[in-house]
Order: sequence, then structure tokens, then C-alpha cells
Amino acid sequence: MYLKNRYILIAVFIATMIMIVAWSMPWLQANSDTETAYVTNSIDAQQDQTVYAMASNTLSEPAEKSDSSNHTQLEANPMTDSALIVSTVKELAGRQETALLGKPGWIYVRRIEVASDEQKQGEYGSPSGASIPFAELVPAQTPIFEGWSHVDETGLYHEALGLVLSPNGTIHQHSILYDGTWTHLTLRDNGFPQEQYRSSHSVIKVHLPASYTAQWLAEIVNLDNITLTAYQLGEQYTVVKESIYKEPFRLGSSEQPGLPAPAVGDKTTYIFDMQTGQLLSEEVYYILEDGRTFLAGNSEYHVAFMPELPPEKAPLYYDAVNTIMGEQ
Amino acid sequence: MKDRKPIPFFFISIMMFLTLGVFPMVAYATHSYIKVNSIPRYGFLGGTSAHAEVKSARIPEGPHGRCYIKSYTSPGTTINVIGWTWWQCDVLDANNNIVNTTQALPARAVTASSTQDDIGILFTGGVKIKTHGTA
Repeated sequence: MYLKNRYILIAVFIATMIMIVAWSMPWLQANSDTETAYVTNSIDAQQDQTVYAMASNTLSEPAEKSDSSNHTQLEANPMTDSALIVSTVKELAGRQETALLGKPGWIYVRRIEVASDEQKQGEYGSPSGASIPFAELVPAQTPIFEGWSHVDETGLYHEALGLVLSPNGTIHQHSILYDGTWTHLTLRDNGFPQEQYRSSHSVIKVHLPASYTAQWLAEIVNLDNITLTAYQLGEQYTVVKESIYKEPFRLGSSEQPGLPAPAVGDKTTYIFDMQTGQLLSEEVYYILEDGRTFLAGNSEYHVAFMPELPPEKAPLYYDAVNTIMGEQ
Repeated sequence: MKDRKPIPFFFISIMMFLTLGVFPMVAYATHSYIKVNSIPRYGFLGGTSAHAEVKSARIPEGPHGRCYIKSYTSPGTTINVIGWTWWQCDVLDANNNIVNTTQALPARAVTASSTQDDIGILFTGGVKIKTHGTA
């Protein structure tokens, strides 16, 4: 009898292991999907470089100086040729890629959220019961999102450091990419399960905000409910994207709406530096059903090349790598 | 020597079902790509199959995305044979920083025979949506 029960238990154990492996497949597939999407983006970015070269004569040289009357005149007579606007943005993005990429080093990207009407409240949770106030992950006032990506000559990166900071330098989030895996150390240190603080990463081209915006505009430019306008002022090139939604959009859920009224469209303004091609700022307003506007976000960007990580940031990467290696 | 009692089969079945119940699901989306992840059907309760899936999508027109979660049975039943105990949707930037999140409240749990439930999330500053839940 005892022997028979032992066989039953062994059989059940084997069956359970098979089912666990089978149920793991969707999760693996999800990560695989992510890689596919990123690889696609990377290929698109390489193809875009050809377009940048072809469109190189679409930009006039930046003006020496500007005044308010000039500004008013330009805004009153904006460019409306969407194809030309997109090719111009692609050219600007290509200008930045040419300047920053092509050599090994670290690409630094900083985004400062200078204004937002969106409330950063509630909890960031997990199925294990671990939670942290969201305002501790993203401070309510002027959060600073930083990232350093260690690129090779082709712009691909294998190592990275991500931080979210307060203006006073307090670290709210700390992530590193090492050996093909992102580890969100803040979530790990707050008791979150591994499937939440670890994720796989395929080798992709570094993310430059100008290139991302160029790619995004190219994807949506032919939609019939989108209009693009642009004007050039001094050393800045401003693109305004306006969308009318097919149906009103509710941010959040019906029980917890994130907007004072449903949005029927949005107006997004991108400003580029014509000398460097850098995306300087991005401002997003929702147009609400009742005619009001809602500021979704206003961000300032800065991108730079660094041969090495800054001395004050390097320990945040290398110490974390040593810790992770020690755990393996 | 005292004989050991055999472990009842229904107890083993319950343990296996609970193993299902803590399985996490994740779906990602970048740009306008829609990503779906689902638990394949499995038969129980006399041939009824349960399905659970999470989806993420970047909306082309706007600065936002949508996160979806859904569970259903075939043939349809109102019996709560599978449900979402928890789910959450995050927007991440290129440096793995969490830019935005939905609130993971018990009220967001979706029951067995639900129609699609979704939530809108701001995408500004983000490059990827991640929806994860426990079915």
C-alpha cells in the first residue's frame, strides 16, 4: 500500500512539473514578443538613416537671431506639409545620431517633467502583497528620469543604468541592465517578486528621444485624424501634432477616471534644436469634451555622449553589478 | 508498523489548481504594437475550458495606451471558475524606469465570465507598456 501511494505521489509530482513548464510558455512568449518589437524598431531606425540623407536639403540654416514679431509671423504661417515635416524631423534626428553614435561610450538621456496636471498617487503593487506608494517611485514635483546606455560603435547597447531622482538628488528608482537582464533594484529591495523586478533585454539600438519621435511621427502621419504643423524660429524647429479621436478617451478606468472629462483630442508640441537635432521639449495637452484643456505633461530633454560613466554615478552601476553577480 | 494513509486524489487536484492560481502573466507593447498573452485553454469541470489573457496597446492617435484584461469560459458559464485576483499596468521608459502605473486595487480584479476590461494610461516619456496580472 505504501509503495503504491509512493508511485501515485511520484506521478503527481511529474505531472505538476510538466504543467508548470507548460504554463510558463506564455510568460516566455511575452518576453519574446518584446524582443521582436524592439528588433523591429532597431531595423526601422537603421532604414531611417537613408531617409535622413535624402532629406538633407529640406532644412534651412538656423537664423542668427529672432524677435517676437518674427515669432508671431512664423506661427501665423506655419508649414503644413506633413511629409516635409516628418522628413525634417528625421533629418534632425539623424543629425544627432551622427554626432553622438559611431564610437563606444555611454549615451546619457535626461528627461525632466517640468509640469503635469496628472496626479501621482496610489500604490504600486504586486501579487505578493508588496507595495510602495507611487509617489515614492516618481516624485510628484519635477521628477528627473535619467539613463546611461553603454553603446558600441553601431549604437547597440548591452549595459545601462536607469535612475529616477528628485531635484534634491534623492534616488527614487534604480535599475541596471547587465548580462541581458534588467534588474529594478528599488522594487527588489522593497520585497517585490522576481518576475516584477527582473526582465529580459535583447540587444537593441540606443533610444534617442529625437529618433523615437521621428519614428513615431512617421508611423502616424498618414492617419486621417492627425494634422502636423511646424515652424522654424531661430535655432529651434517646432512641430505641433493635433489629433481628433474617433471616440472620447477616458484616462484611467470608469471607476477612477484620470481626467476631469473624457478627452476628444490632444495637442502635442515638440521643439528641436536645429544645430544638434536634439529634442528639447515635449508638451502634451488633452482637449476635453467640455472644451477645457488638461496638461498631461511637459518634459525637457537633454542627451549627451560620455566616454565613461560620471564618477558619482559609476558606483551605482558597478556596485549593483557586483551585488547581482554575488547572488548568482 | 503503522500504515500511512493515501493522499486523497481530490486534495491533489486542489493543490494543482492553486498552482494555476498564482501564475503571473505579462504582456508588453511598444509603439502601436498590440501584444497579447494568454493562458491556453485547459479542461476541467466536465469539459469547460477557461481562458485568461492580458493585452497592451499604444494608441496611434494619442499620448496614451490601453491595458486590457479578460477572462472567459467556453462553453460560457456564470460559475466563477477562473478570475483575476490582481492586475496592474505599467509604462516604462527606455531605461527601465517606471513612468506611470495604474492603481492595483481589488476593485480592478476581473471575475470568471467577464467581458473585456480595460484601462487607459498616459504614455508620455514611456516607450513600453507592461500589463501583468495573476489568474
